[in-house]
This record gives sequence, C-alpha cells and structure tokens, in this order.
Amino acid sequence: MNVSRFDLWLGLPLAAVALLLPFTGPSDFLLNLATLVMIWAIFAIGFDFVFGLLGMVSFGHASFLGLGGYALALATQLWGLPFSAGLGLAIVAGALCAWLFSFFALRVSGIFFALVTLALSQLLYILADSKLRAWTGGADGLPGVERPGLGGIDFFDSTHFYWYVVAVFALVMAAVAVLRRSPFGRVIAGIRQNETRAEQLGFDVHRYKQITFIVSGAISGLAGALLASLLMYVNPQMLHWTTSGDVIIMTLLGGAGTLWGPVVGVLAFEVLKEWLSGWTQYWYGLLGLVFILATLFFPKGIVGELQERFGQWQDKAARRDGRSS
Amino acid sequence: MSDIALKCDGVTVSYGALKAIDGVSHSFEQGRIYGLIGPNGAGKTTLLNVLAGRQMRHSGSIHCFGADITRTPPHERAHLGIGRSFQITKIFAEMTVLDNLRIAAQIKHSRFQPFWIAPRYERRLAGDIDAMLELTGLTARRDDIAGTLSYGLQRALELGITLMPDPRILLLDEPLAGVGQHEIESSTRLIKAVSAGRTVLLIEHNMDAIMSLSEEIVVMSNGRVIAVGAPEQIRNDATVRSVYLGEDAS
Repeated sequence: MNVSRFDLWLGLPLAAVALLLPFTGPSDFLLNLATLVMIWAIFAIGFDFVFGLLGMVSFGHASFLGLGGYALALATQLWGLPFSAGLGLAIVAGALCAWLFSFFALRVSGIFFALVTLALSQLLYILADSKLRAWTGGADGLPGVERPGLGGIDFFDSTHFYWYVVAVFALVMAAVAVLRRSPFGRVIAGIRQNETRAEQLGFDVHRYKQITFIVSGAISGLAGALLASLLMYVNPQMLHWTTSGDVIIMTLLGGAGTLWGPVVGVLAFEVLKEWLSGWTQYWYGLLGLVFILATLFFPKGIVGELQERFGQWQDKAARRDGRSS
Repeated sequence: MSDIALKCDGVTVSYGALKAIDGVSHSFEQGRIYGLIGPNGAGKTTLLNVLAGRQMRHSGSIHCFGADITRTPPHERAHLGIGRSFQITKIFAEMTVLDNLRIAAQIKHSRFQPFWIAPRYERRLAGDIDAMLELTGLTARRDDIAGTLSYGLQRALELGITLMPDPRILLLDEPLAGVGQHEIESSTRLIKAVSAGRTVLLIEHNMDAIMSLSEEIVVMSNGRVIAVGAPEQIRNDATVRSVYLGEDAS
C-alpha cells in the first residue's frame, strides 16, 4: 500500500500547481507550455501502458498520436463533425491502428517488437507524407484544426483551453490509476513479471497484450487530437519515428511503470527543452547528455527513484514504530 | 468420462538430430500419482512441457480426459484442468505473496477480469486466498514480496499458485529442488496432501521422496520410457539400476 500513498504524496502538489497556475496571471506562453506538457503527459501515460506495465518497447506510438491528430482535423474540417465527435473518432483511430499493428507486432517480442512497430509507423509516416497527400496535406500538413466548442465558451482563449485539457488529463489519470489497481491491471503486471506463469495459470497472454496495446493506442489517439487542437495544426511530423523516440526518452526519464513517472518525465523534458533551446541551438544534444546521465544515475527514472526512497523511508519508520511499541 | 486423465501417443520431440523424446506412449490414470525418474537429459521436463503445451512442436498426439489436446495452447489446457509447476521457480517475484495468490484466484473465478476496482470480486477471492495461505504455511508472510522469500518458501508459493485454480492434473517439476534439508519433510507432506484426488506427474531427484510419494514410477532414459512399475519393483529392476542409479547390472 506504500506505493499508492506515494502516488498521492506526489500527485497532490502536482495537482495543486496545475489548479493554481491560471490564477497567478501567467503569460500565454507559460499557459500553452503547461497545456502542451499535459497533452504530452497523456500520450506518455498511454505509451507507458505498453512500455512500463507490459514491459514491451514500442517504437511506433507516433502513429497513434498522429492518427488521432488527423482524425480530429479531418472529422471537423472535411466532414463538419463537432469537436467532441472528432475527439471520439481520434480515440477510435488510435485504438484501431493499435489493433492492426498488434497482428504483426505481437507475433514477436523484445527488439523485434520494437522493429516491427518502428517499420509499421514509418510506413504510415511515408504514406501521410506522400501518397495520402490529398487527405493529409502532405508535408504542409493541415492548418486550422478546431478547438472544442462547449456551451459557448471560447476555447481559443489559452486559459479556457488550459482548463479543458486539465479536465481531460484528470479523467485520464483517474482512469489509469483505477486500471492499474484493478484485477485486469494485476494480470498485466503479472504478465510482465512472469509471462510463462501467467499463461500456465490459464490467462490468454496474447489477448491481454492485445487489449493493453489497444487501450494504449486509444489514449495516444486522444493525446494526438488534443495536441493538434492546441497547435491548431497537424503535419506528418507527428507520425515520425522521432516522436516515438521522444516519448520513450520522456517515460524513461520520469520512470517507466510508475503512475506519475511519464508525467514528471514529460515535464522535465519540456522544461529542459525550453531552457536549453533559449541558450543554444544544440539543445537536443544537451538533452541527450542529460538523458544519458539520468539513465546512469537514476536507472528507474526520477519517480522510480523517489518511490524507492519513499518505500525505504516508510519501512524504516515502520520498524522504528514497531520497536518503540 | 474416461478414467485415463492424460494419454500420450507416439510423442517425439526433436532438436535437429537429437531426440529429446523418442516415441513416448503412455497413459496416466485418473487419481494416481506418477513419479517420473531418469538421468539428466532423459526427457522428463520435455515430456511435462509437451503435456502442458509449452512444447508444441512434436509428433504424436496428446489426449486429456479423452479429448484431443495436441494443438490446444497452454492457457486453454489450464482451463481443462492441467496445472504446472516449474523446475526453476516461476512466481510473480515483484508482487506480494498475497497478490501472487490473488492473480491465481482470479483465473479460477472468472475468465473476464474487470478493469475497474471491484471490491465484491476481490472479496470473493479472499476465501480461496486465505485457505491457500493456510495450506502452504505462508499466512505470516502474506505481505512479503515474493522474490524476497527463502527458496523453500518460494517453492511453497509456486505450489500454492499452481493449486489455486484447483487443477485435476498436476505436473510438478522437481518441487523439492533447492529446498533446504529441514524443509524437505514438510514439503513432502504438503505434496502428499495436495495430491489426493488428483492425477499427479512428479519429477524429482530426491529418491526417498519420490518413492514414498508415487504409486507408480515411470523411468525414462534417452527420451524413451524404459520401465514402468510400482516403486519397490523399480527399486529392484536391474536395467533401471544400471541406467539410473549407475550401478553395475551384474
């Protein structure tokens, strides 16, 4: 039960910052950065379903993110659907794409899983960039992606859109926290720890992996739609493998397999990026250096490391109480 | 229902030119305890893998209670009542003892696992978990991380996980391997207790244990079954003595 108390202990300050930020009179730049962090955090949380919970490295999550973005853009611009329908479609698009990928990718494991997902997602990127130009706008992308329309609120206002994303983010976080503690989540953790044992007990391991992959794709699709909405723009870069690479780095930096790890990872990544890029054009290289140092000194990521310290501290406290009583 | 629990017919497993199992045909009757013995590399574990569905590349056929399961994947075989423990302990090492048994109880209660927090479902599992903690003597260690238990306790936990879905057929691969001397007796008693009413195939190198536990001994060598019989009969069999116990037949 230590871990859930830890999640609360870490989550409450983060939630407080998120809720108080709009009242501190922030600049549009800061609000948009915070919105971007939350959207990427949703993506990283979705990614970590496969990466942290199932222990499989997917190098193709850019596909689900990008498809989500395009689904929203096309639904609202081409078919004139309302924003909420577009958001729903983005979730479905991410899930469907993950489902299709799973037929090829789940036949293999380890590095081959990473390679198959990479190949499939690059295929999608190239298609979006060239053959499907009529739909995707090619390298130019699709400008003018919608913002939500809800009860006459102007979501082109940064503060309003910020609150919209806060609400979605909170919903996703709550859903993920519940799923991790659910009987289903326990089986997924079991499969990561000992696949053979889970299978021999009677769990259809392949099916569980597939479902997890699809849920992961759905969350990534949602993030993609929100990202396109924030930027009011979508282009094939969202489908590019570097996007998949970034989410891996963020998740590892924050701590794969922990509830808040992906969120903290995205936060650290984006803040470092803003800071370093204002300082030098070689920020990506410096970020790489930070990442290498982090994997050397915090192999479990920032949150993973904190969680371990917290557990040790609790154990020590419990032992001390035990002795005194 | 057939009173043959498991039957293999002409099962051969080849790794290139090497035959790990070479044309094994044997019927395992319901409710009996079989001891599988033989020198290292005789094919005992491979045979268990074939029966449990871990080794699907083989010729010949496998029947379970009369149904052909030759092409049935391992998780489906589990639902037919085949439980399997492993030579190298396979538990969920990063979870508590309680959660290890909880996962095992989940598969017993439902093929569908809710993805929300389900207190009523968890309560239904609790009774089974408590009973299994009691049986395996792990009640006091329920909140310990499984990977931190002593090897003997890990084996007990693995047995508990295997037993949880209440399998009709138990395939136990060296359940006493690595168990400390002082725990052997209690472990043997535990295996004896849980074998009641089940068909058990037991691989074990501890001769005293396997001879006292088994009702019938199957001796394997070089991938073949070379002798079958009651423990005392096998003990005195000249071929077995020469092949397995390394004694001169003369």
